[in-house]
Amino acid sequence: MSGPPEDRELTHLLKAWQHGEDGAATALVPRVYAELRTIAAARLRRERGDHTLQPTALVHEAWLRLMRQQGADWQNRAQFFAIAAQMMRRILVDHARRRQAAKRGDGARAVDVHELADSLASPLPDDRLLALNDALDRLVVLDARQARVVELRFFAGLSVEETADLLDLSSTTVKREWATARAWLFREIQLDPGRVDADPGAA
Amino acid sequence: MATDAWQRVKAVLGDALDRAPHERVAYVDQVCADDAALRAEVHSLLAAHAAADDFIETPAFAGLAPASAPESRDTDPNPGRAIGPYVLERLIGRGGMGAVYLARRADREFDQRVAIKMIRRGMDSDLLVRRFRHERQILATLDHPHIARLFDGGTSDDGLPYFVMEYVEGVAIDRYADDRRLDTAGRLRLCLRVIDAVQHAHDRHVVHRDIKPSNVLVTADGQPKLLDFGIAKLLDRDAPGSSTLTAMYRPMTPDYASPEQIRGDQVSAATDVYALGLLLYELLTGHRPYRPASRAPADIAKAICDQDPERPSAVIARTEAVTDADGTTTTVTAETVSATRDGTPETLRRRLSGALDDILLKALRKDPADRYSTPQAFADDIRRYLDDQPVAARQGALAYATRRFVVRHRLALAGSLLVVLSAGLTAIAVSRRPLANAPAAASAAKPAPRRSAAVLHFRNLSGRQEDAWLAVALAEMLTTELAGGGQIRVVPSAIVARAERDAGRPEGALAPEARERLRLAMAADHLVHGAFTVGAPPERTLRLDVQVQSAGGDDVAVAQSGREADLFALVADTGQALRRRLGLEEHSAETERGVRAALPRTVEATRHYAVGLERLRELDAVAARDAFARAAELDPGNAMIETGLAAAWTALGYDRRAAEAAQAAFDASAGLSREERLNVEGRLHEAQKAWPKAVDVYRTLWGFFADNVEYGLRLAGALTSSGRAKEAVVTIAELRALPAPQGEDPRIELAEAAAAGALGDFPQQQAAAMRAVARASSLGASLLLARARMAEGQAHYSQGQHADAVRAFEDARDRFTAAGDRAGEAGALNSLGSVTDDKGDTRLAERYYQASLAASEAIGDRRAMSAALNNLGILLKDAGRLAEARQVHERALALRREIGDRNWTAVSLSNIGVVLFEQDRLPEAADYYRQSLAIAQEISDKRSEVRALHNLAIVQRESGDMRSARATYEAAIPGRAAVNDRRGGVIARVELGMALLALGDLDGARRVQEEARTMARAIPMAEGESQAEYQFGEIALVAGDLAGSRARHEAALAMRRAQQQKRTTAESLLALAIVAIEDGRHAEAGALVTEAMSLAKEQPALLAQAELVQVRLRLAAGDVPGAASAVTRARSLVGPTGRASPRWALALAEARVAAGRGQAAEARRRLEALRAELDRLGLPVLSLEVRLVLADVAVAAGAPGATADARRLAADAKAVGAGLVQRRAEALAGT
Repeated sequence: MSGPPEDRELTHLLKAWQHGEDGAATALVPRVYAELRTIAAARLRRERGDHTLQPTALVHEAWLRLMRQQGADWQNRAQFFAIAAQMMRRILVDHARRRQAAKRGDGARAVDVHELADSLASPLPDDRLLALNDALDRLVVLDARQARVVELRFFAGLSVEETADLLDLSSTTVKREWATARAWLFREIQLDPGRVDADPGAA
Repeated sequence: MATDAWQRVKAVLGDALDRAPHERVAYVDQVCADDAALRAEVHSLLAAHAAADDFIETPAFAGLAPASAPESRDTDPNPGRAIGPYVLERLIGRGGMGAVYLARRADREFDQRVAIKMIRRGMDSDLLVRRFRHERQILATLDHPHIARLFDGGTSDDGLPYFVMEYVEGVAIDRYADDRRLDTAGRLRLCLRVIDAVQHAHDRHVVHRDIKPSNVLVTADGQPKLLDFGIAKLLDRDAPGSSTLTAMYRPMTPDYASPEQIRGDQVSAATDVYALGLLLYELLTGHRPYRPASRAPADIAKAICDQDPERPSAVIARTEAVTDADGTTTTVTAETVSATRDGTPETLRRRLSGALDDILLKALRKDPADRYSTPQAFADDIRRYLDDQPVAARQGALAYATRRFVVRHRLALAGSLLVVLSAGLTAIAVSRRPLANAPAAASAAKPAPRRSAAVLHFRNLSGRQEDAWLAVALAEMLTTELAGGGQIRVVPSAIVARAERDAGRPEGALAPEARERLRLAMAADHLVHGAFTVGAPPERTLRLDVQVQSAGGDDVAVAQSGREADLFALVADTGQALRRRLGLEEHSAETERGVRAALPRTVEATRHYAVGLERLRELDAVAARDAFARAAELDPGNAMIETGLAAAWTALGYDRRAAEAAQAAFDASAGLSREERLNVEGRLHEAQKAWPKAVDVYRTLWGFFADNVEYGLRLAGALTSSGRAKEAVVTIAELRALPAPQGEDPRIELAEAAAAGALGDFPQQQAAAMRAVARASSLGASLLLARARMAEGQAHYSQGQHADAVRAFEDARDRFTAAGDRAGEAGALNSLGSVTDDKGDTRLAERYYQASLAASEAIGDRRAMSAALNNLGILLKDAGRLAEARQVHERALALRREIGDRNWTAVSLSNIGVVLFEQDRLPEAADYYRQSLAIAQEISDKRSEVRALHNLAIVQRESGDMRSARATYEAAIPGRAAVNDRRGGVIARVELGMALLALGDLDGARRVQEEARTMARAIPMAEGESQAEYQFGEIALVAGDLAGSRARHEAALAMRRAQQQKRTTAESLLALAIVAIEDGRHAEAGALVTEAMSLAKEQPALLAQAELVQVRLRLAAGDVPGAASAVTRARSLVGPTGRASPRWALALAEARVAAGRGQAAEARRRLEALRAELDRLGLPVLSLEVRLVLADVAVAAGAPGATADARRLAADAKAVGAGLVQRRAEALAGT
């Protein structure tokens, strides 16, 4: 569908990523994102009703589609899942931000592009989701692997075993990382510091 | 927390969690026996773990239930709710536009059931309602038995538009036909009634646009009813009457869309014919005519545009899985399809083969002109079939097939229009549609990329400085001239100027190779360069020599001359000559007018305008502003001059002036070309920070001129500014898809860095910034490189990588300085100041801020000045240099007021309030907070408002004005919730409770502290919980419940010790000491005070409190000299203060000491004065305590009436619930 130039670019990007070129992964992100959206929206339309949209299935399908488009024996599955999980995270977070913005009254315009996220029930209210997103950013600094476990489990919906498999860890380790991260994140998002007496200054 | 520390915590926590819940605490205590901090941290995490329930255990995307989705909850008006005169009963349907409810008219005697369609949030309600009113007359004429009536429309209380329609009790037409097992003839007859209804509407010039099975219901008695007539048009953003500037994107169900809808072409009666054909096709065959590669909207859209529909008689042999709306999947085979129709596959195939194939295929032609011209013609052919007569479709079928090959080629072209789908902007099909009055050709297929040209500045061959302006003016004028009519894309002159500057802009002619590099860098097919000479006055004959260097290597040269007074004609002639040589069409008269309107009216105005542009490019905004202002005087109401003026004001940081100039430019833009006008409008919205509007404008420009990187960049910028950074990422991907070098413009990476920063994705921001650095440096674009380094520095800073941030900012600063960009330099210095201040190097940070201030002062950039001053003020306050801080903040405030920046004015006012508060100048502080509050409320900045309210309440409390404080806290508390600041909510409640206690409302105080404690536990927020506990202790003390008070204070103390908070721990110790004194446990009180003092070292306020408790203790022990020296120490510690509670506590202690020394009169004088003040302020609790000391003095002196007074005091204390004073007074009275 996308026409010849786009296909070439995608192939190029995937190859570059495979060979570890700087920036290729970053440039792939919009593609993965688009794939996820396309698939999710198509499934939504087909399955509108009380069916469940499983993130795992979504991500697997996106993977397969990208593989097909590229037609290569490209192996970096773990990295793909990591990016996909990040994308799922952004879809939700971006949507939550926009909805909050809409509630504040700024930039509250047509949100057709968010039909997908609209139809997905998040287990967290917007403010908590945004707080979780911020906390995850802090966790990355503390412990990047642990943050990845959370992303794969929560945003990509992978099981403990799948996560362990992808990250080449034991299930016990994943369980432990998950349990301690949950406690830490839960505390973090409850403690949202707010200064009373001064402004943060203009940067 | 450092990474290593976290690893230790994680290890202990992980081990603890491996154990049974009841063993965990003991395990942690044992493992962390000698590391209190570790223990506290793990305990806190264990508590969090216990409270976390199933937090994030369910994956984020697990649920897909529209009814429970948050957005649906927002928009779902519950049954029972009144909408206008109707009451909603139940949900009967849900679709892309919103939900449909069965409703009843409430104010009628007879029942009228209607269907109400609530449009979901996100549609433009005002526009919808306006259009509805406009269309209502037309829709009212649609009176047909097979069309559901549209009764009414409006806006609900919460602003959602709704439509009231006839309620139809029935099932979708395809379902009905299957349920009744209608044969082909029955299905045709049913469909004929629908087609007739559509014809009825077309006769009244109403097109449906959204005919599909779910919009055609059939009632139990077999009557079809077409729903939603006119609604699709109302909801269509591109309908006539809407602004041409509204978004070009709109949702569409691709399955039932016609090729022209997908291509974004004109929708007409033939669109409904197509949809009717599709409806009939599905009814007759049970299949859709196309086989998309997947169910992705993009694939469906492609199939609709490119694939030939399968012949109905052939399609029935297909076996495919079909998923119904209710989610059930059925496998459709020739047998299942036939079973509900004409019996066997063979009979059905024969029935369809021939005439019906032809009829359906004719209705489904790609080109609307090839279909039946009206629904009537379609119906006539069906009737001919039913009457066994030859059908019209048959005759055209063969001729059509031979033409098809050619058509297919054109459609392949049209398919490329759908490029946006693959860019992933939206999950639904989207049409890119040209502007309303764009050439019709543009709608058939995306135009081939236009050629592009860039005009260099002209060389001044006569070398006289006074003619230098012509160098810029001629380039500018020729740029406008060539851009007119939009035949070629002309690189904006500002971009050319920067590229020239980056190339060094030599005095003489550039070497051809250097020009070639410039041409390639700007992605221009043609590079226009030239020179001019000016002859002697008065004629001043101007001679222009213009050359064009082109991609193919064919150079073109043109020479023109004329008098300077005829400058405009000269440029027009030059442009025309160039166009002729480049094979472009001549300007139409209208284009000519547009070009002329864009240029200043006179030569003199042009001169000032050109000087303004040149100064702006040299980053001398003050001189630029003066030149533009002069030009505007000479030629008032010129859009381009006003736009230049707005740019100059913006560079100087004057928001309001910039917005005024931009408005003037917009008002004057009517005569400009459409593209220029949109440009001017975009700048206006940017100047007004009306980002959503700016997004619309730039989306339009970017949609129409998809080869112009500037528009994509501006769209991305506006999206990021309006909080839609995710969409900006999509636009950035589109920008990248542009052919090189446009697609490799470093500014694309910068835009991505900005978007990633806005999304909080700092690693991404960093990666994009570094790509921008690499690209800018390979192009030698020095200013871009500096900006890229700034973005990189910000990414580092946000990730806490201070050293890297400093390096990047320093490099940016050096590059800005070298390029003479003082504004950039000031920004870099300010950022350096922030990083350095964060690292704690106050002296260096101060120097950076001062340097930033100097740089921005030099160019008159008020905003940058105010930012530097603000940050400097915060630094000074933190360093305790309060007088300087005040002065600096006042300067920032004055600047912010001057440039009309309301948000930051509120912040400056608040910051000054904080300094004044620190200086103990409470009334002044309150005044500033009030001003900040007023602005925050005016601009609806909730966060600033709440901050100002809370600060104001603190000042009021500290001044002793508890009544005002109570009211202010009560106002602040809901605000904290509104901005979702729960910790602030706890603090505000604790403090409100303190005010209530002082005001004698003990029950209220208890209630509020209870709330605070519950909230604090839920968060969890240990310090909030301990504060509430402490306050419970205080309330119990006043109430005379000494045991209770001791228990509460001990609980608070334990928590505070665990939190290792010295100050609050000392406060708890002192509170317990007072309880001990009241209890007569003097030795214990002594020990508590001693420990408190050891914690209070170097904290004068706390030491003073300890000394005052010491006074009580010494007096209780009969040590009057000891009490006297303690009170002297306390007085020197408190010093002169505007704060009420230390002052009162000191006064009370001094009176007690005086009484102890036997100076009864002195004591009484002080106490009476204090009591008067307290009573005036309405503070009974403290007043009762003062009266108790007074009674004590009076009884000791044997004063007449002393006993009666004590009895009265006891009664008054009892009324308030102040049990302690009551008991003591009763003891004094001897009762």
